[in-house]
Amino acid sequence: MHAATHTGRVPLNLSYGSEGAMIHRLWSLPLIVSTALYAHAAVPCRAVDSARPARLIERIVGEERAATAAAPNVPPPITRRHATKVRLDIEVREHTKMLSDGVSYTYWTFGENTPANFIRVREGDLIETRFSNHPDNSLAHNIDFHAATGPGGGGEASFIAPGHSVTFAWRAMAPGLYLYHCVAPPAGLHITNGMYGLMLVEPKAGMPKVDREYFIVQGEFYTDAPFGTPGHRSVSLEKALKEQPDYVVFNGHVGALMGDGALRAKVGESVRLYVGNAGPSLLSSFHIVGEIFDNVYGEGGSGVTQHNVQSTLVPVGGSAMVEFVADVAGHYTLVDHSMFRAFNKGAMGTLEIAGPSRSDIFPGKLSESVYNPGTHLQRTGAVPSVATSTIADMVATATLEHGKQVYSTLCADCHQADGEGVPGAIPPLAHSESLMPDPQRAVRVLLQGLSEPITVDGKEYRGVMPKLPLSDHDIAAVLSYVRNAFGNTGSSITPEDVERARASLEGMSGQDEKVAIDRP
Amino acid sequence: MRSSRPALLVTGLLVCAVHSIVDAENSSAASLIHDDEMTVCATPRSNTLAIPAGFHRPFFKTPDNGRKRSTSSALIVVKAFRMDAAPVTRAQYLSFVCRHPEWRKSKIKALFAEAAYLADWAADLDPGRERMQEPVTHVSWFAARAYCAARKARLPTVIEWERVAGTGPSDRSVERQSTSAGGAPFRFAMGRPAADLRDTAIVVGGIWEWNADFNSALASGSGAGSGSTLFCGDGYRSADAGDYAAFLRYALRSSLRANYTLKNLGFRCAQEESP
Repeated sequence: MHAATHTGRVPLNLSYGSEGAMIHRLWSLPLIVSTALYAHAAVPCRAVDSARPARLIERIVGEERAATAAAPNVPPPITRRHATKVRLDIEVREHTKMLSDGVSYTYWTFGENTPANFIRVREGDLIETRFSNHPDNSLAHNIDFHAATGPGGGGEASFIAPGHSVTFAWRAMAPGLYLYHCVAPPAGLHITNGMYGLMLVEPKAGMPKVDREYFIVQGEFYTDAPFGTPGHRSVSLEKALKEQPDYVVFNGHVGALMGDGALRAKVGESVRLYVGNAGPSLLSSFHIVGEIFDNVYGEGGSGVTQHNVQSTLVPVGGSAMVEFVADVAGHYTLVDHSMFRAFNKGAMGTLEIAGPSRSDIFPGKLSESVYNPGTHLQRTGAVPSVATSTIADMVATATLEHGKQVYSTLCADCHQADGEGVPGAIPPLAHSESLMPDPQRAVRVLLQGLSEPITVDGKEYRGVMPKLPLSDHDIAAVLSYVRNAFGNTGSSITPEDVERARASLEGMSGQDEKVAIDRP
Repeated sequence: MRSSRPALLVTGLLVCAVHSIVDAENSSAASLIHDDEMTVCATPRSNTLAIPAGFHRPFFKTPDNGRKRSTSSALIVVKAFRMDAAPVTRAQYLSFVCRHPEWRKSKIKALFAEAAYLADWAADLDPGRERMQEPVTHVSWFAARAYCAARKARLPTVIEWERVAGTGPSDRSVERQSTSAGGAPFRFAMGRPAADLRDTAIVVGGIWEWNADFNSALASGSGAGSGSTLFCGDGYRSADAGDYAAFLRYALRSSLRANYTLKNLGFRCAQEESP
């Protein structure tokens, strides 16, 4: 809206046409904006260096309270056409808050929460900051605005004891998205404990209009117990110095952007996310599962640096702005794509896009069926020919090991652990002259069971062997084992051998299904 | 509490009287006192410990130990001295303001203390009956110095205090920051007895404490107290960049001005070793 007002140009129509709609990405906006940025530098600029014209110090007109909003919301765009004095109040608190379900932590915060409120000012504004350290606090604190040009970003000017307040001022000279944080020694401790927020310095021409804006700041917590351990956790300097956080979270605690906290948009709306990374240690690879960023303002600078980006790097102590159109309704997960952080440490959020489905963009699931091509495991024939002997040995060993397990589970009760069987009742497998010559016979027994008297090694047995619920793989394994245990030495049986036997038995099924047992 | 104020006011006035007796007759006066808080008020003398000469490794490598351009963190010798075994209590401070009315909260000059001076005292001579043995806080550096001077003592220097109580945490993973269960927040940064004092009656670690030279605590190498090295640059300048307790302590000191009266900032006195 303000982009149009200021530049006299019409922003892109971000809505869809009716049929066969093209997706209007936000591509051509940056050109408009950058033109506008420099068009507003009314006086010819003396180049400080080849890259940047000298910045004008605008006259300050009037004053107003800073526009701020609590996470994940962003205050509305600034419509002012002049620089002003912005009065900003920040109070430091040291207090206990929830880091995760059942886990509390002593946060140090600018205001009530981590991250602190999003602050929106305009390029050229004079920021008069009243910085107060609550009397209940124990420590000295300060604030470093990355948006400030000057010593320590205000760190020195704002350094203040508990129970005291300091007012200092600085100019927001350069448009962009900036982190602010406490830098009192030891700075890393103040940051990890929650003292950070984001400030947007809008260019004079404003940011291109979008339908929705949210902000996210990633941060880490180093605690004295593993992720999720209930109770009040204190900081672990040991883990901090090793840069091994237990928690990596969006917007201050686990689940801040989940459930009721989910970000929301409607199909067709344009969305801009202001993303910061407070660290203090880990780079963030910010990604939305199932979404592509139409525009990325790399490292939070004032211009679009790239289109069609899947994951954008957000440096520690830095930021990025990403824009996209909510094309397809559904549930989208926001992550730091360093996936163990997302999965195990909390770096995860949700974007809910509501609206009609878009089958032209994402037809989605078309059909579903069973897929069973048979196992590819243990097929020695499929093993590449390189180093075949080694691999074959490994496969054979694994097969025998598996066969031993099957044997001890299903066979050893009757045939005994040593394969000797039970005299007069259960035939032996050890040293069996009947077993070895015809591998197919044993396969058939296992496939079909046995209910007729048999003679083994000259003795007759009348017991019944049941048909066992074994796969081809199991049968091959257990027979290979039996044929190479108990003093037997014989060839292995492969699952293919079993498969063939099974097929041949099924081929005979029209006839008498009795297995022809060779009787020596 | 409110109802006890008149009594305490009387007590306070008695303290002055009692104190003169104490001065005159030393401890024999204690037997004249029956009420508990009177007993407290009647024994304002501090239990001091002899701190033997010892070594201390300064936290910041500064050239002010006689070595120009030194970035050394070599051990320095801290001479023997005496120091209070515990921070000055409200009872002890009460006896001080009895005898020195100019340091009562209604009389204090604005130059010497800000408005929060003795903010948790109900009246000039009423520190609260139940809290007499707690360390006095909400006191300025000027007030603390005057208290010690009245005892013919002084505030300990930063180096002296650190030699006694500035031992780094033994286990960096277990500093307790919880404010629950009455524990002082950030106690881990507020002091730990030096190894050679562990068997003494020394009490440290409940509050921050004033030092005589608190405001030079973070003077940078140039002596200009450049804050910019304080913030990020100080890691390389410290003897142990992993001693976060010390960083918090030095940061707090360097945020102070002599008239500040913080809620959890008290003091204890030191003096030269008796000849």
